[in-house]
Amino acid sequence: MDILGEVLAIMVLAAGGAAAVVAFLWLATFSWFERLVEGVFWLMGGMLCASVYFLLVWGLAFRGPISMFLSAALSGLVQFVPPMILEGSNKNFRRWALYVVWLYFWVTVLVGWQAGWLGLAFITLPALLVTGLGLFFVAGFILPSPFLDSDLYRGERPAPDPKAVPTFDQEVRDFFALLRHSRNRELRKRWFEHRRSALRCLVTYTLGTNYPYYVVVDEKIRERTEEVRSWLEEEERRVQRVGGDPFGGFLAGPGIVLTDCDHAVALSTGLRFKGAKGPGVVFTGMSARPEHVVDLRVQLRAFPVRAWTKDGIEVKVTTFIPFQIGTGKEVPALGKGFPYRSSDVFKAVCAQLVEHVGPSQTADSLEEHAWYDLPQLAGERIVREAISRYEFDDLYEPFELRQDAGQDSRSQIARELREGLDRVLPDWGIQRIGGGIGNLEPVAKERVIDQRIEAWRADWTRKIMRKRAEGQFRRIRLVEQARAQAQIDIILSIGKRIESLRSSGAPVPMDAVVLYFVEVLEQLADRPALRKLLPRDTGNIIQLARGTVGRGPADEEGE
Amino acid sequence: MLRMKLESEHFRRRLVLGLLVGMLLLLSGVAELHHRRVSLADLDSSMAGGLVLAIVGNVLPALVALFVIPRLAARFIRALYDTKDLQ
Repeated sequence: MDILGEVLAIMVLAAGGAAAVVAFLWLATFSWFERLVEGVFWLMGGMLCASVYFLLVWGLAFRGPISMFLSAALSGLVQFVPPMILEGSNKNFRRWALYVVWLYFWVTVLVGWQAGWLGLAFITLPALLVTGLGLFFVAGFILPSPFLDSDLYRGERPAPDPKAVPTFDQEVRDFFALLRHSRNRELRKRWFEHRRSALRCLVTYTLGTNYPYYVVVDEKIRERTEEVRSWLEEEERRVQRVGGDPFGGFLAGPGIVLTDCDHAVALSTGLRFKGAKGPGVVFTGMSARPEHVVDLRVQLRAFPVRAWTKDGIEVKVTTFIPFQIGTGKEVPALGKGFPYRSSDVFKAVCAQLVEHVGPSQTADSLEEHAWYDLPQLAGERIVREAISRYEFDDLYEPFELRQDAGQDSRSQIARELREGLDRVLPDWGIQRIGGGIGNLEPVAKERVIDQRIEAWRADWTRKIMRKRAEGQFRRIRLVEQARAQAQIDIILSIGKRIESLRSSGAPVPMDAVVLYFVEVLEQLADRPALRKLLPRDTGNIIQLARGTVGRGPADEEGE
Repeated sequence: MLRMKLESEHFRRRLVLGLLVGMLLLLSGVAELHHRRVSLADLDSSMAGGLVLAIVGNVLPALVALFVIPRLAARFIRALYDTKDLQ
């Protein structure tokens, strides 16, 4: 009977352990499936433990705490099964950690069991509570806490100073204020959920099933004492501190991304954009990673632009554009991260350019333009286009010629720049803060005179060629008109002669028509207007034609 | 000044930890005395040694947890924040 009582006690204790594990996993935000699997395997382990103990006592008469511990150690091997089935490919999983937890539980139980049921209540239970709640308590310190409401004490006393070093007294007061005031309900919930998430991070990190942890660093301090720092590119700002399998599914995750108040991250699974998160502590889910680090501060890009004036002189101008990721007109506030619109981050990330550099179209020649390069690309194009509408002299005309101070060419180009940026940047999720240009300078100052002469010469050459073309056009038109008029006159004159010959009733001899045709030609050739346009021997040719026609066909046959 | 303040803060936190351990020892002592069916008045020096050992032994699992948990957290913090000097 005693043996059965002990076996029953083992099963009850195993059930209690399963309940404790399930509760702890709930506290650590694990899913119901994970809680169910672990609870079931703890119960199975407990039943196995009871069975083994029964066999040891019944078969070998080996009874006592050591026998019970051996039974637990043997049956605890079942704890290796769930990770092997559900996370067989995860090499980082420390499967023995679950076994250690099992052993710890049973050691604690056996220690308490030595002192009877009161021992279980006064020794085992406190030890388990210390372990579970200790983990929960300590987890609150491993990740930055959310900022407690400035009105945490609801007017009873001044709010905690977020910049001050937290003291023990302050922490205790904050904690009780958090619990006491009913209006701190949302804050309590946020605080509690943060600790739960942190607890999960601590548990999965210990198990080795965490997703990768990243930290966003703003600058690299190369020499601590001399404060020699170097700014980092976007890729370098994302530092992976802890590795992990991002595809784990059982007792796994989350990943962590830590950012300062002025950075956000764009999370992606590689196939799907998961949104912009941060600043602060960002928990990442399965297969998500921070693809892009987004600097939320105002960015300033100053860059030289080379452009050609309308009269072909190359000038350079320093252009500057301050901008930032779209905030929806929200301004930074103390105690909060820099504001931004998640939709604008999405647009900015999608607008990033990848283009080939040079004639080669291979993958090696690809160059990526991040979102913060886009204002410069657009600004260069807008400034070039604006300058191309001005002549060199327009750029340097005296201000006095303008009635309005803002009508000079430099101001107008800067205005065009700002207006042009406002047309394109919002579609890229970027908000323009300002924009302008510096002094316009010729690229080759010593060659400006030569270039202006070249431009002047080119302009006059163009005008001369145009004049020539117009004269040629008029001449050809006059010649063609005269030719057409002569043909008309010939045809009309011959027509009238033939008509007069027909009206006389006599037959019209062909040689008379031809002779008359020659006479018409002769009359035309004698016109002063045409004479100067005809070749010199035109008269001789006509005389020869007249002679040939006057002799007639019979004379020609006789010859 | 700052060092003194930090020392003071550390002392208070250790004090709380000590109180926790004391409470565990107290509970363990109560359970052990009840198990042995002796009262404090009946204790003599020969029994006291064994009783103290038993009480400390009973608290050992909790002490192990109190020793391991901060180290787990420190390991986590060292890895995430890249702090080499955190004990």
